[in-house]
Amino acid sequence: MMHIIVCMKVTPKSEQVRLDPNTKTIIREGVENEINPADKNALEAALQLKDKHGCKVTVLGMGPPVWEPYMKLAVSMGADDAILVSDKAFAGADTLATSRTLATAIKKIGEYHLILCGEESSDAGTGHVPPSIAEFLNIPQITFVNHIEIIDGRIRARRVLEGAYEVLECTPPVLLSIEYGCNTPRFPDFRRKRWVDREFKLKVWSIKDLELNEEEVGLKGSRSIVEELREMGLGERARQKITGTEDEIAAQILNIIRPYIKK
Amino acid sequence: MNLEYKNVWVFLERRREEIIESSLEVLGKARELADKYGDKVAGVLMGAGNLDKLAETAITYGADIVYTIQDDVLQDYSTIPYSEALSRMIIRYKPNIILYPATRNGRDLAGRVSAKLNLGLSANTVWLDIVGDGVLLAGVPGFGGGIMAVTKCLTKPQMATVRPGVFPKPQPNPTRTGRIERIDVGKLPEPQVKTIERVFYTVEDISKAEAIVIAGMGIRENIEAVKKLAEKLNWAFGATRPLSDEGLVPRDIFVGATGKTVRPKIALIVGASGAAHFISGVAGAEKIISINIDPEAPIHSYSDYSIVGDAYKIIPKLLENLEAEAK
Amino acid sequence: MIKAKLVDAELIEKLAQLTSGAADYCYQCGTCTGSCPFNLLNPQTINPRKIVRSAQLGLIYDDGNLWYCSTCGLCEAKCPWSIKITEVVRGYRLLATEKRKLPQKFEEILWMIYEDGTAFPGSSIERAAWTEGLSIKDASKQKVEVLLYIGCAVSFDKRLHKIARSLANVLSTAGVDFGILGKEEKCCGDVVYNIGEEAFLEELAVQNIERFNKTGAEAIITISPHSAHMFKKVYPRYGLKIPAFHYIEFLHDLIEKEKIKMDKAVDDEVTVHDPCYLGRYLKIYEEPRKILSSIPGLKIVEMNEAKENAVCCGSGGGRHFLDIHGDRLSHYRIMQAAETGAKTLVAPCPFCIQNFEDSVKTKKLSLNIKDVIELVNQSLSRSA
Repeated sequence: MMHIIVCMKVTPKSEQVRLDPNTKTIIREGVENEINPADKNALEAALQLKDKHGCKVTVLGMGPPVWEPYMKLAVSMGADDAILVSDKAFAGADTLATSRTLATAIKKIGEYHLILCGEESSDAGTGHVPPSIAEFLNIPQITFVNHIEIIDGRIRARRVLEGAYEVLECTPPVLLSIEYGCNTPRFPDFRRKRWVDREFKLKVWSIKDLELNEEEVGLKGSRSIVEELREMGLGERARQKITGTEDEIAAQILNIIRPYIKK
Repeated sequence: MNLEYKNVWVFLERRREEIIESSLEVLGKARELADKYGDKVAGVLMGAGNLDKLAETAITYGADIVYTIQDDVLQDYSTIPYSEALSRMIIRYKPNIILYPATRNGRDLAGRVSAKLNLGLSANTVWLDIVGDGVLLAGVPGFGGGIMAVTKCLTKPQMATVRPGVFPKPQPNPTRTGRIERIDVGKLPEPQVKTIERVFYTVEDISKAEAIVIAGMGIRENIEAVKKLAEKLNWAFGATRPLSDEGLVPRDIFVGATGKTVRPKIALIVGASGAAHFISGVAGAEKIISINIDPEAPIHSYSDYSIVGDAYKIIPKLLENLEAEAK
Repeated sequence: MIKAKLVDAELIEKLAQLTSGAADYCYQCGTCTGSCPFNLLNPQTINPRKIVRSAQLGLIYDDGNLWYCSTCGLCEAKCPWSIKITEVVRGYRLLATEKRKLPQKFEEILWMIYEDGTAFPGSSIERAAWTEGLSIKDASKQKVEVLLYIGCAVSFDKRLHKIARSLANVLSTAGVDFGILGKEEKCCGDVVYNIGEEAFLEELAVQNIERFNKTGAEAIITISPHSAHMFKKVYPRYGLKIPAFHYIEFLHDLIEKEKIKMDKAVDDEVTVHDPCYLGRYLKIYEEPRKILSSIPGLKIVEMNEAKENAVCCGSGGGRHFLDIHGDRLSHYRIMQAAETGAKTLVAPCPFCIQNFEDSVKTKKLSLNIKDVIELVNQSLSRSA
């Protein structure tokens, strides 16, 4: 039976995030969290493979204890197990430190055939964690996948590029990053959720459990830092109002765009 | 200047027999950065056949040196051979900065190299600057494009992936000179991922458009009229993300933080409310005209000309006027 | 050749349990299919008779049009046995949802309700945006006598903000001690109920009831008949003890007790649409008319298809969220309204108003669409 590990991140809802103009830090108060949307697609892809081939699905995340209900939600959706890697030492990690920590956790989990990650997260949106995890695990990777098949134990994936697509094949273990929106994540089974909320015990691993030292993780393990945050200067605009009847407005628009009309 | 690490490298991604536009944009920016602190620009080009012609093109676009690596295994992009080749180059030559286009392949590669060599990496940058002796500062957009983090790498070479469409493609200078160095990096590993099929299709890339009409949810019942307008004006046609999510327009023409970034001379935006993630995709336009029936829609403050009106009435009128003028 | 279908005795039993034996007495006259308004709109035909027959025989009903039904209940009103046909529809939907065989759009809506507390796209932090400039008690922070439940549609649709504001004004003028949950307000779950996602509905209802209880309110008023139906008829199963009303009932009471006076003339000719969930479900037909009659200067004309025979606007039962293109029932209904010669169509339901506003734009009909409270507010005497 194939074992699929899905890496999951919990992110703040993008539309609620604001920058404090004085302290230039993110205002976290009152901002709600959600499972990173692309990771939901990754989990759904894993669950579809589970439905078809009977795989075991484990969800793995690196984050603070507030992530627990989201990890459990993943189990309600159908994952078999969930592990949260959580420690103060992991805080402030850049993508390198995050990937190293997750890769170490994956090694600790043991045997796996497929690692699925969302293509990028809705907050930082780097998309670098999946390739970095694959490198730390020394396994091949296929990024931006929108369709997966398992044929005779081999993984066949459809990879989407700008203006092209590739159908690629690889023997496990391999890491795939899943394209956002490539499937409809199933709504959790709330009867299963009742059981999960009451009975399911989330495994929580600390830095000691991973046998890592502080220099390898979190802020200390990072190789890039944020110097400052800025509100995106989206440019000052003229803001000239055009008014009148619809005819007049159309005529004025035409005047403005006329020099740019191409024959 | 710290002599141990030098030059600004650009990963020149190929698509079949051409260097992709995004790599040329990055080359242009690399030139600017290198000139700021007095360094050279080197392109890294990989492939199976002879790469000299492409290397010469890269020189006309601003490279002083182009390193070419020729190996059958590098014919098409594949993570393992490409990342191995690039890593060996980095260890040997110690560049100060490496920039990659933040295309899918570029990000696939950069993330792998970052872990291979334990190097800090700034992602999807929309702003780059040099301070002091070649220290790179990179602007990384986050949270749907509303906030930008200015980041710095703590290791060398400093690496960043650059969002396509943000920096202009430079004008090629056919009289520029430079040198091409073919490098032997040793035997490269075979890709473990086998290609069963690869299909290219020509995509109307709106990010290169000089003029564009963008449709938003506010005109969803008559997207046809907006398309017709774009056709009549001979402008590109784009859309906002919700229209694409609803399946009303194809996915590759939506403008926004997670879609295309456009830098046209003029953009006519019809029925879009102006959410931050959309604006960040169109902020590079020289002139923006917007029509939105809601006087409080944020789009109005991001426009040079703003119209509070009913697009369902105005667009047909505009089409009428255009047709009348054509006669 | 006719293929015989397998009859499933277990399924008969299960559906009978889920629907309290709703299908039992049907003798297949077909009046329901004949009167279903959606059959006016090809190709969205619904066959209520077949659905009930399938339940009687224990046949699986997996036709896509199971989801087109707006649960308007016109079939039930016409049925000679008053069979609860919409219950059978919900029963089949519950079984389909259990097997995750529901339209993709509904799966997305369920996620939105779970994660953002709304069935309409909108950020929960903007839920009280309609209150701008007004000072309304925050029931999540202080006790109130009456909890005003706004609902998702009204919270996030600018056109519908006017309704909430009118109602808030009328209640204040009447001296009612009321408050709203604001950002803390979550979807009532009408869509969840109609999709048949029972386990999620239970969690949603229990959490809502806890929120309501904390406010100390002695009554809940809703703007949407769908919410009113949920709180009156469905939530008691999950422990809701606070009496719930649609604002029409409450308003009618305020007028009878002379807590508000309407003395400004409103010169208009209106016709009344009876929303399915206010009329056929809650049997509130007379009160909207009585309220409108108390507005000086207002003339009321009735449509032929009124009260129990009102034609659905097309949105109940979760249908509002299915992107079904083409002809809409609300186009049909506004024509009926225009035929009366009225200048304004009055509909005390946010879904109806959204549909009718869209339809008058599409059909380029000059008909005003208003909620009852907007007219009341217009006529309100400013002196207490």
